[in-house]
Formats: sequence, C-alpha cells, structure tokens
Amino acid sequence: MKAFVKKIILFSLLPIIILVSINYFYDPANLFDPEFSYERSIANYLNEGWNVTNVGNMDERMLQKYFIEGMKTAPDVVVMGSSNSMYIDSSFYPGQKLINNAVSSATFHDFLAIYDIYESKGFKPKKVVLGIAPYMLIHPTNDFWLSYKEDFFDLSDKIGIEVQIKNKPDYIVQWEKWKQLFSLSYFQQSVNRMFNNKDIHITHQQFGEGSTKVNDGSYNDGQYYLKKSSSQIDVTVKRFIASSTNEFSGYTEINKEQKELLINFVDYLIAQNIEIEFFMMALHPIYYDYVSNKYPIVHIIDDFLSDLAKQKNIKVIGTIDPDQSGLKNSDFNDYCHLNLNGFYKTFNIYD
Amino acid sequence: MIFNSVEFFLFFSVVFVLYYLISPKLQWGLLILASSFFIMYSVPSFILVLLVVILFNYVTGIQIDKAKPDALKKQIFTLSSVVNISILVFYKYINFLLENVNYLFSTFNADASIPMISVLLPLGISFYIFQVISYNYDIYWEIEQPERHLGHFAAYLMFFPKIVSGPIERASRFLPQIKSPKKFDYQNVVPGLQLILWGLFKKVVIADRIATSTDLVFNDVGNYQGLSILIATGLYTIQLYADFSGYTDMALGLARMLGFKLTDNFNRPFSATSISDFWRRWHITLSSWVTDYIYTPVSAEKRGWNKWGIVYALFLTFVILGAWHGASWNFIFYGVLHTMAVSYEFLTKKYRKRWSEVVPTKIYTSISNFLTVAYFGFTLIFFRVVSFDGALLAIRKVFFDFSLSLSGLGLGISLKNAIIIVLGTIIMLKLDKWKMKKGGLNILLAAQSGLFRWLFYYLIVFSVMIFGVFGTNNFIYFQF
Amino acid sequence: MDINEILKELNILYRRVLENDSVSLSLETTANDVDGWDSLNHMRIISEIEKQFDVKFALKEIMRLKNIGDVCDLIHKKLA
Repeated sequence: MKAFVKKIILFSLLPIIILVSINYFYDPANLFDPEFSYERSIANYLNEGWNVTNVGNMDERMLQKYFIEGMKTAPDVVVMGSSNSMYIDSSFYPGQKLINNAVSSATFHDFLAIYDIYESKGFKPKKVVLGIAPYMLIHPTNDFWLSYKEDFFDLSDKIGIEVQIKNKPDYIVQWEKWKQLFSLSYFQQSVNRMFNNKDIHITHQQFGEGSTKVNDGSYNDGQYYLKKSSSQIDVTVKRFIASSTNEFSGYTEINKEQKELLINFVDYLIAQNIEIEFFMMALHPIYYDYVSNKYPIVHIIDDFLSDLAKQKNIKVIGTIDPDQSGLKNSDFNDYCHLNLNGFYKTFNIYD
Repeated sequence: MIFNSVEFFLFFSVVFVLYYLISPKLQWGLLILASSFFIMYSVPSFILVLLVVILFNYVTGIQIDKAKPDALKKQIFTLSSVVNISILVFYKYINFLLENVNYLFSTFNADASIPMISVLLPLGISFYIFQVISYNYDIYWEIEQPERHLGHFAAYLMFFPKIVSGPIERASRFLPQIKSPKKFDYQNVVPGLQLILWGLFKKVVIADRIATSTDLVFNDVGNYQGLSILIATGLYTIQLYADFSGYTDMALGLARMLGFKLTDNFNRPFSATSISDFWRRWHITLSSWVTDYIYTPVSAEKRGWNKWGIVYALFLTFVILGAWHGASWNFIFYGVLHTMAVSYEFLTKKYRKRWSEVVPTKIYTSISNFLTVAYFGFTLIFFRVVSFDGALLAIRKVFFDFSLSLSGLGLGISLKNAIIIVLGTIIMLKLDKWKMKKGGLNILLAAQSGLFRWLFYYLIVFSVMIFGVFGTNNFIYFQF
Repeated sequence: MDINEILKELNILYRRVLENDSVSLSLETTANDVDGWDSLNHMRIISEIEKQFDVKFALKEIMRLKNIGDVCDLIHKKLA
C-alpha cells in the first residue's frame, strides 16, 4: 500500500501544482497580488505613457491603486467620480497635469480611499474635481471600495468618520483567502482570465476604434461610439424608463452616511487649501423629464448640492437638469451618460 | 456527504488507509464505524431508523429459517414484509397518502382534514428497505441462509459506498464478500480508482453541465416553446444517464477499492431495441429486484389468467417501480407508461416478429432503437417535471407550440458548452460501450501501456478541473 | 414416467409455447440458453407444464428451479 500511496501523491503533484500556480498568477479576485497581476500591468503601461485598448474584466479599484502608487509626478488636477466622469481628460484643463481616477459605480468611499493613496505618496493636487452622480447621495454604499479599505479607513479616521463593516476575524479571512488557491471554481475563473486577457493592447492613439483607457486615466468609447444616432439613443432611454426600476425609485431622502462622508471630505480638502469643483452630470432630457416629475428626491439632491456648493464656495460645473446647461438629446450616450459633445458643452470647451 | 466533495475525499482517504492497516478481521467493524459517520454527517437521527431496520430483520431472517411448519414461516415472513413496507411508506409516502385522503374528503365535502406530518426522508431508506425485503424473501423461499453474524449483516446494510443511491445489492452477493479478509491488492484498488475517476467525469463534466440548461426549462415549462422542451428532454435523457451511471461507477469504484464487487446498474441502455430490453439495461439492480420479488410471485399466482395474468403482474410491477421513485402521481404515471409499453411489446410479439423478418435487420434494429430511446425520453418528462399539470403542459407545448425557429430557444447553451456536451456525450457512450464489451474499464485500460494509462488519467483529471461544473449539485438519485 | 421421457415431452412443450422449433433442451439448459425463455414467459411455461403433466407447483418450488434438470426432477417428484 505504501507504494500505492506514493504513486498517488506523485500523480497528484502535477494537477495540484498547475491548480495552485494558475490560481496564484491569474488571480481573478486579486487575492494574492503577484508581480504581474492584470491590473498592475495596465497601471504600469499607463504610467509609462501608453494608452490601453480592449480593457477587459478587472478590479478597477486595484487599478487605481497601482496607477497612483506608480505615478512619477503629482497631478495638478484630480478627477474623481463614477463612469459618468470618465470622459474628462487633459484637454478639459489645458496647461495642467490632469489625472482621472473615476471608477464604475463609485461612492464617496472611493473618493476618500483614492485621495488617501495620493496623500500617502505625499502628492497634493491643486484642484479636485468631484463628479457627483445623483445615486451617490441616496444609495447605501456597495462593496467595491473594500479593495482598498485600508486607504479608506486611513482617511476616514483622519476626518473623524466611523464606518461600520462586518469584520471577520483575521484568521478566517486568511484561511478563506488561501483556500482559494485550491479551489476548482476559482481555477476555472483563472483559466478564463488566462484566455481572455492574454494581450494588453497598447497604443499612442487616444481615440481608436474601440474603447480606450488613456494614460491620464480618462476613458473613451472610441470613434465608433461617438457616431451612434441620437434617435436610437432616445429609443433606448424610453425602453429603460419602461422596463426597469431606476436609481431613484424607493428613495425619499439623502443617505446619512454618504452625506457625512461628502461634507467631511470637502471640509478636509478646503482645510488643505485645495480647490474643489463639483461636476454635476445631467440626465438625458427624456429621462430627466420623467424622473423629475415622478421623484421629488431628484430636486432634493439638486438643492442639497447647490446649497453645499454655495456654502463652501465651490464652483459647480453642469446641472442635473439638461435644459439648464443647454444640453440636447444628441449630447447623450444613454439615459445618464454624456457623450463627448455633451462634455465639451458642459465644460465650455470648444476647439 | 456527496461523493464529489472535498469532505468526502478526505473521509475516504482516511478510511481507505485505515482499512488496509488494521487487521483484516476488524475490517467489518471499521466499515460500520465509517458508514455510521457517513450517515450521521448530514442528519444524525437517520442512523436510528437504519439500526432499527437492521436489528429487526436480523431477527426475522433467523426466525423464518428456524420456523418448522411452512405456515409459521409464512407468518413471520409476512410480518417482516408488512413492517418493512410500513416503515418505507411512513417516511416516504405518508404525506402523499394524507394529501389524497384529504382531497377525497373535500370532494365529498367532508369537514375533516388530516394535517400533514413533518418527516424527513432518511438517507438511503428506499434502498435498504428493498434490500431487507429481498433478504427475507430469499430465506423464506429457502434459496438463502440467514446471516448469523450481526456485525456482518449490519455492515452489509450500512455499507457507505452503496447506501446513498444503491446499487440495490442482494445479500447473497454481498455477505460472502464481507466474510473474506481484504488485503491491499492492486487488482482491486486500481480498477476501483479508475471507475471513480470515470464516474466523476460523467457526473461533473457532463451531467451537471447539461443540468444548467435542463433546469432552466423544466423548472419553468410554461415559458418555453415546444422545440426547447423537446431538446431539453433529449438532453435530460443524457444527463440522467451520465448522472446516475456516474454515481454508480463511483459507488462501484469505491467499493472495489475496499475489495468489494458490487453489481452494475447499466449496460449500454441506449442500444436497447425495446422497452423490455431497456429495463434489462437501465437501473438493472432495481428492475431485477422488482422482477424477482414482485413480478415473479404475482405472475406465478396469476398464471391461471394466462396472458392477462402477465399483463396484470407487469402493471403491478411497473407501478411499484414508478412509485418507488417518489411519492407523486407523476412517478406512478411514469410507471404506467412503462407498463403500457412492455405489455404492448409482450402482446404484439408475434406481429412484431413478422415485421422483423420482412424489414432488413439494420433498419429494423435502428428504428426499434430510436423508438425505444425516444419513448423513454418521453416518459422522463413525467419523471422530471415536478407537477403532473406541468408535465402535461410540457407535452402540449411540444405538439402545439412548435416552431423550428432557433432564436429564443433560451436554453442558455453557449457554443463552448455545446461542444463540451456533444464531445463529452460521444466519449461517454463510446467508453461505456467499450468497457462493457471488454468486461470492465480496468481490462480495457490494462491492455494499454502504462504511459497511455497515466495520460488517460491526466486527461480525465484536467477535464474535471477545467470543464467540471462545481456547485452543490447532488446526484439526482440522492432524493430517493 | 422417467426423467428422459419428461425431458422429451418438455422439449415439445417448450417448442410449442415459445413457437420456436429449434429449441433443444438438455438437463443443464438454463433460461439464458433458450431464446424467448425470459421472465415474461417463465410463468406461462410453468403454467403449461402444470396443465400438461397435471401437477401443481408451489411458489417456493418454482423459485428454486435453476435449470431444466431441476424442472424434470420437480415434475418427477410431483408425479410420484
């Protein structure tokens, strides 16, 4: 029997080594943070001045962390926000070094964490542009910010905010993390990554055929996307209104925690003599028409932000109501995302 | 504990090593301990029913044998059968019976309504009750001796490789094996391990993969068109085979690693040319059980009725076979569909023989084969869809909501999935066919070089790693 | 009647019931050896045997029959 057991162990070595290695190096949930994780590779390219196309599935927060940590010089302007703010690139603030740190489904937790990473590097921007989407003020936070939770807690402690999260004892967290090395379902996701993210395409072109992550952190959908017809978009907006619940339904007041985070963060920046700009993103006219009539919370948010800006002397760019900024249906990509034209109009940039 | 889980892997590794380290005389004791642990792992109280059944039948077996006048033998045997069946009926069918009684009450506008009883189905009860019934039968018919060693008898019924979903092993086949000491032998361990690997492949790569699509359709029949249901039925037939034969291979493999040879449940069922033939190839231990212990005595008793005696016996046999699967009209109807087919084949034997002489053999066999498998697939609609209405709806849709448009099938099968399923099925059927022809997977593999064997093992292991579907997918027969 | 005569008559009976003239029984023949002698037909054959030889079998006795030899022995015992 001993010989048999030896043979089994010998046989099993190969699959186990492959299992563990692929799990470790392709690491879809970024548990092990190896030298060449996908996110780190992209961050390196950006910091070397390349633009990256065909960006696949990844942890955007980890990307931001590696991106900032690998930066050689401090930016003058830092843009934070959600996917709605990703178009803002260097051309919006000519003559200044701009970095766009927007992440999808951002919440104010992300703002704090990202700012803290800059602070840890000793980088202090002259101006911070906060792209605030309406949902940020009413939805409770999601879990994505946990990717850099240490950075968040670092700053939240400084500005005196307590955030409760369900804390698992460390040894359990560690056990669960290292268990994944041997997990077959994790392995299958790693294999998927292996085949889908083999090549990182880099280019110096900013507006290519497909979507591009530019080396200043901004993002655009490429030339093709810019050409989508406005009437097509109108149809998708109408369908969206008819089909799903939207970001406003069920909310009647501003979320306490988010409000506290925003106000304290703004105060902290002001105390450091950093100029703040609010970027309020407009909603598609058809969509705005619908929600502004049906959901009073839309106006509550609008009023709150305007009041806050007035109170703290913060410049506001853009309005939730598209009419007020002179925006038309043709300035939008969908119900809540401006296209490049819409951005230029909002920021008053004309070539 | 299900076979394809980390816990079971650890459990079995420990048991396996201990088994060959301890004195062979104690092996049956280890089996009892291990099996007890296995049974109690999910719900500890399940072991109590099993212990009661073991003790009760241990006694009745000896008493039936000891009794002198035949009338007394018959009495004890009848008592044993009544008790065993009652236990099974209680745990399995009590709520079904109460529901139907209440339904009758309501149709007669009676006010009485018996409340449902909350009772969990003990692990493997359908299987071990059947095993003890046949045990008592064999003693009563004086074709077997009772087991006097309580430990051996207990080990037989508790034996963990087969307790969950069979095979339904006859005492006469198993008990002699437990009496022989098992030394570590490559001739047992290697074939066993091969079978386990192969069963795992069938279950995790093929069955569970197909299940993601068939579950979509059969859990929500109303929202799918006829073509989707038709395809899902075909897929489910393959899935059920992969799942159950995969489980059986694993059970046989585990037993083999411990030095036991259990009875296989499958013999190339998809090459059957009639439903009668089909049942000799599908879930063989169940069909041979009902044949020997229901069909034979009933047909013997009714042999004065000639052809109709046989039809009557067939009816009882298949209804019981259907009902064994579960407490619902669906399963009973499933049995009825099969009894209809087998009776039809029996009554039209001459007529069909004439056809077989007229039509060229290959064509006749192909058509018979196709019709048989298609019919079986059709009966599976009642097997799989949870409600009777749902099953009828599914059938209505196949016939009346049928269009050949491929868009909107909604089966959720990507191209990659389809390729894995198709390739996997072909490999599965081919390999199962060869292993039957050669007399065993190990014989098939032993004929190849060591390098080939290791490559084959790696192929299976990596297929399972890369293409296996991992979730908590119990074997389909776990519920019975 | 002796065993051989019983065997001869059985042969004729099997041929008749199974509608198969090629049936040729020996004392060692089992159900596996005869085309058509399956569980479905088993009781019909038993029933015919009982009618032909004017005997009655108990279920227990039927269950213990393993080959034609056993059948002949049983018939012989019943006739005695």
